[in-house]
Amino acid sequence: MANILLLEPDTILGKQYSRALEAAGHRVSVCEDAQTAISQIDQLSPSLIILELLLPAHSGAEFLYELRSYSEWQAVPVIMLSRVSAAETGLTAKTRAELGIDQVLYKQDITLDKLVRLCGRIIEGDQ
Amino acid sequence: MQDLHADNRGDGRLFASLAEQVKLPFVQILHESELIGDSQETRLIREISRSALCLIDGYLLQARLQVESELMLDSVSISSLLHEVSESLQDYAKAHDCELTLEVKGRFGPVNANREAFLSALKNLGYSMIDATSGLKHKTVTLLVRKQARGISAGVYAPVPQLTADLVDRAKQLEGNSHQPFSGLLGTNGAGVFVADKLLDTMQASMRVARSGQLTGLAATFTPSQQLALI
Repeated sequence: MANILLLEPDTILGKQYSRALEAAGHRVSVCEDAQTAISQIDQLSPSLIILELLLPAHSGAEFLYELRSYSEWQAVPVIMLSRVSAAETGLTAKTRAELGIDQVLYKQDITLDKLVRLCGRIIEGDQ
Repeated sequence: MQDLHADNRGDGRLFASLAEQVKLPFVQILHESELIGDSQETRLIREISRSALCLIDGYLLQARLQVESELMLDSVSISSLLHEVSESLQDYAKAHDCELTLEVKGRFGPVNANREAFLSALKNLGYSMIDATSGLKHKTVTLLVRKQARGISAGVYAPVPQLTADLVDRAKQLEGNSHQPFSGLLGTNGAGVFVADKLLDTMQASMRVARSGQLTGLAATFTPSQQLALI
């Protein structure tokens, strides 16, 4: 079981990802924007962050630049789960490495089951 | 005339924005059907949603590629790509009681293509061809690769002799002005075929009607890549 921070601006998708991850035994905290997530990060103490690239106000990339500037959050694994395909995100391999993004997933290509299994592997440190 | 071009650009942006927005409820439906559980009904809901998303993505991709000044061509393994297409269409075919087969006989080296556009074009052709088999006694769709004098041809075939070059030419003239431009083949507006056609066009691999035995299909020919194939 792990604490997962989910940055998802769409309420319905947020609930769907939460239900799937909670059914696998994880505790999920959903934030709909980057500012809320940054202000709550210490309290939530996530073992994994799943985030949408396209967030209101600050983007997922901006959130990650901010997050990685804090020494205690430099190693937390991150899955980018976006409605924009990997090709369209414009994130180069270098940027992904800089931001510590473990996986970039396209929402419509990933099943909830695969997402849950991937989260499990990353949390257990197999990925 | 200038105003007309400006209007077209405006319409293009509006449609792209509309297409992006329409994807969201389909993704929500896709995930909700997973949470409900696995049954024949939920599998069907998922496949219908995936086919719609594939069409929308294909439309957005061709719109994006048409404004890009230079198209990135990769060295694409045609066999592996067709396996991927076959894999993603299997459940949709099953839901339509259609048998989907893959015919990749022999070794085909890589071809010059844009992988994303090629994949989307073949998937959209596949969905359309599966739809075209409804009402047929023997519902079969075949993904086929073969060597030709001009290169390597990949396409989607079915026992639909009514699919002719004339039908496709006529449909292209009727595009956007008719509810059934492929009348006799597809009961829909054929958007999947038009999207595939535009995607193939961006790679200078024109879509054409082709035959293989008793089957008729829509195929495109790609030039072999000179890169060493390590398959």
